[in-house]
Amino acid sequence: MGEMVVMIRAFIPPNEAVEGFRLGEPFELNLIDGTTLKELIQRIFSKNKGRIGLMAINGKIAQDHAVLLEGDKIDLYSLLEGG
Amino acid sequence: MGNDILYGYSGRILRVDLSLCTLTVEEPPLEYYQHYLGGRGFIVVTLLREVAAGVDPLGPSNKLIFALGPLTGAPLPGGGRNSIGAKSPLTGAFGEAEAGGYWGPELKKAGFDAIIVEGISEFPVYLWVHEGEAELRKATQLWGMEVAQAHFAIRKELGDEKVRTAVIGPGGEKKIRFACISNDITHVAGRTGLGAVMGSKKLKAIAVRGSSEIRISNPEVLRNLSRWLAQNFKDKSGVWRYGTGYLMEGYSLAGNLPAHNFLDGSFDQVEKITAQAICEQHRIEMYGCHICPLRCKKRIKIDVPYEVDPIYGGPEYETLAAFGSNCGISDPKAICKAHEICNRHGIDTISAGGTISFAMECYEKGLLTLKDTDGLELGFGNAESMLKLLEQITEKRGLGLLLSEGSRIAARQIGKGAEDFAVHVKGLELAFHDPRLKQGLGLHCSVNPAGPDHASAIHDTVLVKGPQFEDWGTIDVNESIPSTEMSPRKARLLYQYGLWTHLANYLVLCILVPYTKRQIQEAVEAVTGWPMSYWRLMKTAERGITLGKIFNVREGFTDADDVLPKRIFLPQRKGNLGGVDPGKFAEARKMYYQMLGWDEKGIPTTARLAELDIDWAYEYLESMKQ
Repeated sequence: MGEMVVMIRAFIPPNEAVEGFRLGEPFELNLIDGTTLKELIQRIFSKNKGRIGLMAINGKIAQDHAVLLEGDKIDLYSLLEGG
Repeated sequence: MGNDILYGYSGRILRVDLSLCTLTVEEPPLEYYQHYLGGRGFIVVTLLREVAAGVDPLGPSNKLIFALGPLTGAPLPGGGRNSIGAKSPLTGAFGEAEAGGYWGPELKKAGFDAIIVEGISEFPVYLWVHEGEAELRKATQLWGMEVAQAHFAIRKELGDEKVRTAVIGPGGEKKIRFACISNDITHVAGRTGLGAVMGSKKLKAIAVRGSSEIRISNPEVLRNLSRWLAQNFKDKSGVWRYGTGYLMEGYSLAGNLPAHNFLDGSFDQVEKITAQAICEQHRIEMYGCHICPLRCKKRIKIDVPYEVDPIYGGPEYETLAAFGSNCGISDPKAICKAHEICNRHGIDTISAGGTISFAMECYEKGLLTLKDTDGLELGFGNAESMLKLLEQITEKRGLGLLLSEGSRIAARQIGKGAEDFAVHVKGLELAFHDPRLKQGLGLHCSVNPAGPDHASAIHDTVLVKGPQFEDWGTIDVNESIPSTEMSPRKARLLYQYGLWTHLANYLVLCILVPYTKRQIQEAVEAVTGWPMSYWRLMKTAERGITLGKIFNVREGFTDADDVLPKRIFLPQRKGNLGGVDPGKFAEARKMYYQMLGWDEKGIPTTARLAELDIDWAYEYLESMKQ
């Protein structure tokens, strides 16, 4: 299977150090074609998935079964607290 | 009471009578501290016992109370705050606000747990509290000064660069109904118009300096908690990187970002006004409060087209929404300038922004014309007009004179249906979280005695995770409830979890520091040496809520005031969320009243007063009936 590049911006920390990751700042990630949002989260954010409040792909709310595509911009927001 | 048995407090309260120019020190009994803990607890007891019903909030009989909590000044992040309260000139109800920084810890080190200010001075004064002593000093030379000017002038006069100040600006002096009180220029007790109360008393500032040790029962526990926080805060919260406002794009997606005076719940140019955008373009540093590693406050500097002085800090989330999305404005520089104007003059950004967005809608709907606005094109999105109108408010000039009274009074004056656009509860403008998404927050905003205070609210979008998340199951958050649900079980969530969120007002603890409930309980035990349980802590919060309600009932407030703005019962224009269902709201509010031990009209019952051990307050309900 081929690979694709997506852009991730996450407001929750990954399971372990990921090169290029800074909280709330976009970083590029190579994924296998056909990867779903759920699989992405399982791979990188599984320890903190309970702290995800909202997920978006290209600025639109997305569900975890969404299949990712080359160039997608993925936002993983933490729980929408106050302040 | 011997001070040798009281940990975490100084054991002394300073009373200042500005009419008589007297200063006295009181030493409350141990039971007072244990029963009310601090902050909002001390304030509501004092107001209920000492401020008669019906007094003019800007007259000599109102009292202004500065209060600390047990954790204030302790070697623990989050304990940098202080609480301030009075009968509010904006709402006429119980008024309270809090601010961070260093002033609170300094007051405790100066030897006091609270300051009660009463009467009115003949001429401007400031209070100088230092090393267990206090004195009133002439402030005619400070009167008229902007916030930063006054702060530095006081430090210079006292010859000490480490003096901490709580200051009012010209906004408080002019008794703008949403004037605030500013700690060290940028840490602001913004809500309910307490700066106007301070101005009415001709009290320009309270300067504090102290070096006494705050005795802690078990310092080792606090050291461990601080160590844990230092190691974990970057994983637990995002505020340390950008400050509040870093989730605004998520808010907009979810329908939680008020836009165009709450007509909308999302803003299509949100990415231009987020905390990230502000930080990337204009930030010069992050800074924080008393020993806190989060450093969540941003300082910004702009040179053109508006000069924005970094001495006044930078906008938090509420300000970004107030002058940004809710006014339809996407120019971050204009928002930063509006923030600076508010901090310079000492007025609340939430109420100022909410009142201006109200005026914008009135203009768009023809209720205000160019004649009323002195030629200002006041439609949504007009940043220049927003700034000019804000200046008019600070000067109480033109349309600004009317708007300086807040949106409730302005709407009544404008008439012609303007009240439908005034987004307030009890006269206090809503903070910028949409109750159509966070319906439990909406219920809180309607009933909370201090009005729609977002800081002590539950945020439904966090609680949707239910009992499996963190330690929420330990206080009986036992199911996952959708944020848009309004129901009896949402009332239960507000009752149970809401007591915990209110608790921060009594501990005077910052809600942005990500402690677990267990850690907060341990911290209070470690500071005071008193055995603490969740039950005991939450009952303290409930005691205060009920006393606040009695204060309001005595002032003539009824269940008709425990409502939401009309707009919130209508669907969002954009954002796709429906309005709160009026029938479900009424049912949930009735349930919430009853869970609090209030009757169906929202009046506390004698049984609940007895259960909370505040039977003494019953006489105030009785006096109201006569």
